[in-house]
Amino acid sequence: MNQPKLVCRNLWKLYGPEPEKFLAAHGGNPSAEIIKEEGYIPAVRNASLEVQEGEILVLMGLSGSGKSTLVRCMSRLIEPTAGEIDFDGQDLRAASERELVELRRHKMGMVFQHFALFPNRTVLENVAFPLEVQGVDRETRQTKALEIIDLVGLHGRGDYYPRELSGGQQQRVGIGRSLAVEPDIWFLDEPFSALDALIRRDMQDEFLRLQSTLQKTIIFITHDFDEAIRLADRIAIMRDGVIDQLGTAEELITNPSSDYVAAFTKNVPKAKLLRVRTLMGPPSSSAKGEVEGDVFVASAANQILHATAPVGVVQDGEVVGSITAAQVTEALFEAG
Amino acid sequence: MSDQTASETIDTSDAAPVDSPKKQLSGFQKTAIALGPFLVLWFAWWRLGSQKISRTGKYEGDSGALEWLYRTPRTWTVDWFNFAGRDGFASVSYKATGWVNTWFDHLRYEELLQFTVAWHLPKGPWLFILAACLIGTGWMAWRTQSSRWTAGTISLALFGWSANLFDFMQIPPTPWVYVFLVITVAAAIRSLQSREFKWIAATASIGTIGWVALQTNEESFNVKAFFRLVAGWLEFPLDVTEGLLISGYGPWHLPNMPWIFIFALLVGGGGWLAWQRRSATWTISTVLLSWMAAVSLYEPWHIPALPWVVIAGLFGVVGWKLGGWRLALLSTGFILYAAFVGEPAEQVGAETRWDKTMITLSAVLVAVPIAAVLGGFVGLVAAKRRRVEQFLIPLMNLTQAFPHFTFLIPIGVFIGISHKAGVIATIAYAIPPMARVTILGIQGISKEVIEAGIMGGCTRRQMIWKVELPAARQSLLVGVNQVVMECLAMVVIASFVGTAGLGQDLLFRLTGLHIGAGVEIGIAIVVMAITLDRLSQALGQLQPSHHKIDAPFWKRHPYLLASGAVVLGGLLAAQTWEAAHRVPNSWMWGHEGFWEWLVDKGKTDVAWWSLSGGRWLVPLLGVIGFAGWRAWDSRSYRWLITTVSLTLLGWSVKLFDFLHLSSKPWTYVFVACGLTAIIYGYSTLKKLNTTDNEGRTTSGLANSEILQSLRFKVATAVTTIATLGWVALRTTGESFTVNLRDYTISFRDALESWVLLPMRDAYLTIPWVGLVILFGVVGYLINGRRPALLAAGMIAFISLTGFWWQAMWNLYQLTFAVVLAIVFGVPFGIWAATRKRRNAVVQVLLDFFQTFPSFVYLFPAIMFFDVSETAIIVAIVLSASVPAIRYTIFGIQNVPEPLVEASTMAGCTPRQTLWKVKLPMAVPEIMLGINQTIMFGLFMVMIAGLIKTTGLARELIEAQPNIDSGRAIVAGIAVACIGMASDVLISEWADKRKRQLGLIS
Repeated sequence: MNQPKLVCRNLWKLYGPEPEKFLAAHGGNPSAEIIKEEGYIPAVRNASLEVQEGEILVLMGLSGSGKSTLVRCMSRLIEPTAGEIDFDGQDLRAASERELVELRRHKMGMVFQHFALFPNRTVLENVAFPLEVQGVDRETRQTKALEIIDLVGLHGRGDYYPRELSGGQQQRVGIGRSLAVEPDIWFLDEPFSALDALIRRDMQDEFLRLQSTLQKTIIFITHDFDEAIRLADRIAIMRDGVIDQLGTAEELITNPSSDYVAAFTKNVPKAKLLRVRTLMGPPSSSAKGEVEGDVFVASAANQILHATAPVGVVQDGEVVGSITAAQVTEALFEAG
Repeated sequence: MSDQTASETIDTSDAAPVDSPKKQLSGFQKTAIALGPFLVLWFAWWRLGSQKISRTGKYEGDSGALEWLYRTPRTWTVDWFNFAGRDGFASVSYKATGWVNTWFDHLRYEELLQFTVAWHLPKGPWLFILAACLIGTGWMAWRTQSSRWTAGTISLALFGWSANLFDFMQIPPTPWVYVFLVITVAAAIRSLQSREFKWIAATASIGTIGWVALQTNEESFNVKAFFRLVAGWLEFPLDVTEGLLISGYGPWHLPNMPWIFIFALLVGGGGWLAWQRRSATWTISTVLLSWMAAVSLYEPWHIPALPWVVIAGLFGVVGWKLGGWRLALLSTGFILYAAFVGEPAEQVGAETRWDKTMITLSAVLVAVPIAAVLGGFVGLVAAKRRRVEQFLIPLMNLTQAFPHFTFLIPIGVFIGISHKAGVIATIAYAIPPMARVTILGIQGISKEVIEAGIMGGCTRRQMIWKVELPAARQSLLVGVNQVVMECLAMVVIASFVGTAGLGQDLLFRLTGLHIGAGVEIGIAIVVMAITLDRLSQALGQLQPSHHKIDAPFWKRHPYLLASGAVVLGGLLAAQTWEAAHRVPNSWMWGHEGFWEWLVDKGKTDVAWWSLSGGRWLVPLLGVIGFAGWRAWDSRSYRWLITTVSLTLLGWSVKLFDFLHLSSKPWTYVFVACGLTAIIYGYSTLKKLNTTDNEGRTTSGLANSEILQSLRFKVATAVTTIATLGWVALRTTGESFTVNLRDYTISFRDALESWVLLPMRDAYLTIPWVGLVILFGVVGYLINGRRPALLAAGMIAFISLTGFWWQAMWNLYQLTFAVVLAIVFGVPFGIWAATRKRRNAVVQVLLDFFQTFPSFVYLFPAIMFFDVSETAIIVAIVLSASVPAIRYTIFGIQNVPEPLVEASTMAGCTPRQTLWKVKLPMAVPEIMLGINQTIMFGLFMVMIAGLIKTTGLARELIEAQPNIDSGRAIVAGIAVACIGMASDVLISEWADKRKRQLGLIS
């Protein structure tokens, strides 16, 4: 794999008097107890992660777990206390204000939970806003903004003011605004949390559709695990400012690193997430029939559960293992 | 125990410190701790001291050993005014010589302001230093490309010019003007074209150099002249608006500025922009600008003011745009009132009411934008920088507690007495509220919107202009509304330093006690206040909404077209018909005679409410009306019976005899009415019974409800008719007159001799040590050391100023009036908050009353009570009840709905819900209302000084025209101290209590 798009190393954000000094005094890695004792509030503790180009990384966690702060540290909306952020090989923490403005104007986009639309601007002006501050001339930015308005499915609404739109439509404007500059990296801070369940579903589909054409690098925050497994390539679960576990949905389910992670994954429909390969045992001589190792359990369940003997698992035409009905039921009903 | 101490008791008993549960003092203990020392000291002074205070507050006789209790010993006080000559304060011939006064007098007599002497710097070295600095900053500006350095350079240049350093240049202006002009315009065009820093800087510097070079050797610089120069800049906008509204444009006296440069720059820039962008807005502005330039620079032209038809029409269009036809009607009505109402001028060419209204309007139109921009700027800086905010907030608390008069003193000293000085005072007065609202507005922008701006890649300046200011638009416009109201509140008071217009007129009438004319002008000001208030409110509530891009022009710009039509039509009409240009005298109508008549009738003891009837007729009718209304409102038979029995009671004591009804024809009428009522009720009942089978009626209400309501209606109709009939038919006999004013005057005399004067005398004996201790202890009980020190410190400061007895005089007026306002206002607020419809009506009324500038409340007070202590108190009660009512309603409505539902489900009656749930939750808000009541009361005490000066108001107002301005300033600070001390205590308590109740986190 080539160079990651965005890298965070040992990122810290502490609130309190002179947090840098405190951090340095404790060797750059104070324990949670010491932080609490000294009256500091840890928002992000020692977070490290890499985001690959074109990947959707979802940050998961309960409210107050530091996921929003982490993303704001990455975009330097909030100044991190310590740690490194590399964006395309550039050290973000060393960037001057002018450089940051340039980066944000051309390479970053962000979508907010409560849409953060400018109430005094029409849809068109909202979408064209990032171009306007860049100093793009009126004609060009209007053409561009109209394109984007069509892209996010708001054709003909360019003259509306935000308060004249529904929540879902407003968030489409928010998405459109963040896409106007064709950013390299796209931050989405709980973009669908303020929407109704049905609209949220629609917007997720819309989001996947957009991503299939745009192929952005995405950091997506949510507190909804269902949303996370629908959208994510990888999921990072945060608790109390620490990244508890980082991996694909399947890894989190089969191999949770803590009870906290397990609690999140408990109620998901595992049959639709686990692959036969993950559950299989060693190849068995009594195996009858065969299933592909890459398919989800749900689609092979009928065959496996009705078989009287273990079913062989094949991958690329070779038998790699076998799976029994007992293994399937155990994984689905007891592992949680 | 006095009323004031009683209200303090309420404070302390409720302020249970939850934070320290270890030593909970009971309410009784706290009261004892707080009041004990105070009462002991007061009593000691009152009984044991050989002090006597006369009715006039004069300090008499030997004070004995306890004098230090009454007033701070002279050795302690800062000798602000040299009180040595002041012991008998009745003596008029005293002249203050204390250092404050001396200082201000020096200012007045220009001894200190003539910094000119020192500022005539030796040319050589200073010029060298300045030139070095100029080059340095200029170079920095060029290198860092920063506008800050450029601004620094320009100010240095101007500074050098003001100190006459460049005098040696002495360039004769004539040919040079054109040279500079050409270069500047060229540079300006270049800068606009490329938007590069160098060209902007070049424009700025060439412009500055041109100005400095041409303006040198004009006049020597001194501080006072400088202030007046700055004030002179106001003349220009004032001339523009006044010219537009009344005087027309003759040759202008432009203040000392390079107008030809400025106009050339503006016109050139505007024209270029219009050309470049093909923009209609810019074209129109450029045309307007060149017109202004032509008018102001080419002297012989005289352009008449806008005809009143056009002004009325334009106001109508603005009202229509902002708030539909109602507002249009109101705004047009205001102009019509100004045009038609008022005594016609006696001589030809004399100022009419129209002229005065327009002068005031133009002063407001100039002051509002300036104050809004300055206040907005201050607020913006404070919202951005924590330090500045921390510094500004207490300062603004102080200035907002200052009585209006205090703002006039420095203005009078530095700028002198003139129309523009008053406008400046108005601006100064309106800045703090605007700044405060701006701070709140900017800090209240959702964090996400700010982040969206940053992520969009805004620079700091773009953040302010494109994100923050537009996002805070709503609250900024609320601020503008406040500025408008503050400006109108200052209109009258600013005439102390020479503002012309309605305010000055009113001031003359008031001080001359021409109540009739005063009322008429007061109404004119109120109408203006209401109109401008509603307009600016509507501006704040205006929401943008989209229209189709391809809509025809007239559909997209209806207001623009309407104004165009109004202007054109009006101008044409004025061309052909003089009356459309200026209302002829014969059309004007004054109603001051009516008011004079009203007051005079009262004065000359002829009954001016000459209803015949009994002595008790008026109160009885009131009570009957109230009971009847209650009966109707609550649908309760109890009240109906009360009404009937009251009527019968009235009849039995022959109160209705004046009706003189001969029984014959009336008998039939009454019998017919009664029969109709009965038959109607019966038939409806029957109809109801037939639809009863379906169980429901068309209206969807249960039958039983309708029946109940109907039964009550019929019962009411029958009883009312029967009672009235009987009462009317049975009355006969003699009549006599009522003179309402007799009652009010005798009421006043009784009140003054039995309550007010004794209370005042008691207050005048309050020992300062006692009051300081009282405020300190109460503050400590409320929230520890900080409020204790603050409150006690402020009270101690008052005693140090030496204005102790004056302050106590005002304090007594304040406590009495505030207690009355609370006694009326709070129950009224509770009553109003219980029903939605009622509340809506009351809110409209409150809005209406709140728009009144405070002096308006003086009129009814004078009408009924003459110029007296009682009138002042009544005026205070009238103006201070408004916040008491408003906050009570707000507090009760803010009680969380689930709590009310929970108590209802627990089986509380409405009364129990009120007493056990709503009121305790609303108390903090009500206390804040009381705080506002105190503030309003304080202002009103001072404004009442317009008719009768008492206590500190006397120090303030008497000092205005006199030489001892220092005295007025210190008195102003003392007034502010009273307000702030109570503010500290009450808001700390309310804050804490709200936290305890979980109303705020």
